[in-house]
Amino acid sequence: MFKCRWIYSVERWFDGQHPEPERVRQHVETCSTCARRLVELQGLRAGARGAVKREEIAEPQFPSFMQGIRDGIEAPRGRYHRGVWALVSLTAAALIVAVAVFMVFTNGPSTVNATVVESCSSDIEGAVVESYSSRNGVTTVWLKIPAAQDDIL
Amino acid sequence: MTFIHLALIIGVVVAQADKVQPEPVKISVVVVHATKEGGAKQFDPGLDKVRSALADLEFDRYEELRSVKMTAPFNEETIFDLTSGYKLCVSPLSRERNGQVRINLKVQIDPREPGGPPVNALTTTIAIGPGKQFKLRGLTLERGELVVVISVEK
Repeated sequence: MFKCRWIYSVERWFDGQHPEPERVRQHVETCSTCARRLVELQGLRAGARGAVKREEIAEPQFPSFMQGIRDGIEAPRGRYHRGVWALVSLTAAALIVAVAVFMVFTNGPSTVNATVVESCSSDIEGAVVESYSSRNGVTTVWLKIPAAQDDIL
Repeated sequence: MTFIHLALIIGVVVAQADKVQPEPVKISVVVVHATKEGGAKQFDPGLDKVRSALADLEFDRYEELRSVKMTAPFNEETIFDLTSGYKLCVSPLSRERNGQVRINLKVQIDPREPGGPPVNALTTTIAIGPGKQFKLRGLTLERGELVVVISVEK
C-alpha cells in the first residue's frame, strides 16, 4: 500500500501542531492518500468524543446516590480504627521481637552469686553435715562423723 | 505474613532454644590428703591454685593425691575415683540464668563386701558460679582427712 511522505505532516496538522498549516491543507486537497488519512483521523476523534458520556442521575436513583455519599463520609472513621489496630499490632510485634532478642543475646544478670548449698546429708548413722563459707568466699561442706562410726570409713 | 506471625514464630523458636540441653560442665577436681604433722604449713607444689581454699583448715601438711579436669553432662552421673575406697559422683542438674550451675555431688564409700551397696558418706546439692571454688571435707583418711576442692570452669 502506497504511503505518502506527507502523512505525518497531515497528522500533526490535524492536531494543530504543524508550523505551515496552509501548505498541508493544499497538499491534502491534491493527495488522495492523505485525504483518506484525514477522514480516518476525523472518524477516530468523533468516536472518542462519543465514548465520553456524561453520567446523569435519574430521580429514582437519587436516594441511593446520596446514601453512597454518606457512606463515603463515614468511611474515614473505619480507616482510623483500622489504623489504630495496625499500630497496636505493630507495637505488640515490636515488643515480642525486642523481648525475644533480649532473651537471645543476654544470659541474665552478669553478677555471679556466691556458692549456695541447697542441701547436704549423709547416710552414715549419727553423722552431721554442715556448710559454711570462709572469709575468702570458699564454701565448704563438712562431714562430721561420731567417733563410734569412724571405723566405717 | 504479618509482624504478629513473625514475632510469634521468633517467640516459639526462642522458647524451644531455651529447652535445648546445655553444654556439659567442665569441672576441676583436686583431691588433697590433709594431715597434722606438727610444724609449719606445707603444701605440695601442685596445690597452688587451691591453697586459698585450704587456708581455713587446721592441718599443716597438704598432699596432692589427684588433680583432674572432667566433663560432666547434664542429668547424668559421672563417677570419679577420689582415692582408694572413695568415689565422687557428679550430676549437673541445670545451668541457672545468673551463670551458676546446680550440681548434685555424692561421695561414696566402696562396699566392704563385694556386691554390697556403696554408702553415701556425703550428699549435697550446690549452685556454684564459674571460677568459684568449693570444698568437701571431713572424710577420714590415714591420720587425717580427705579434702576435695571442686570448681566449675568458665
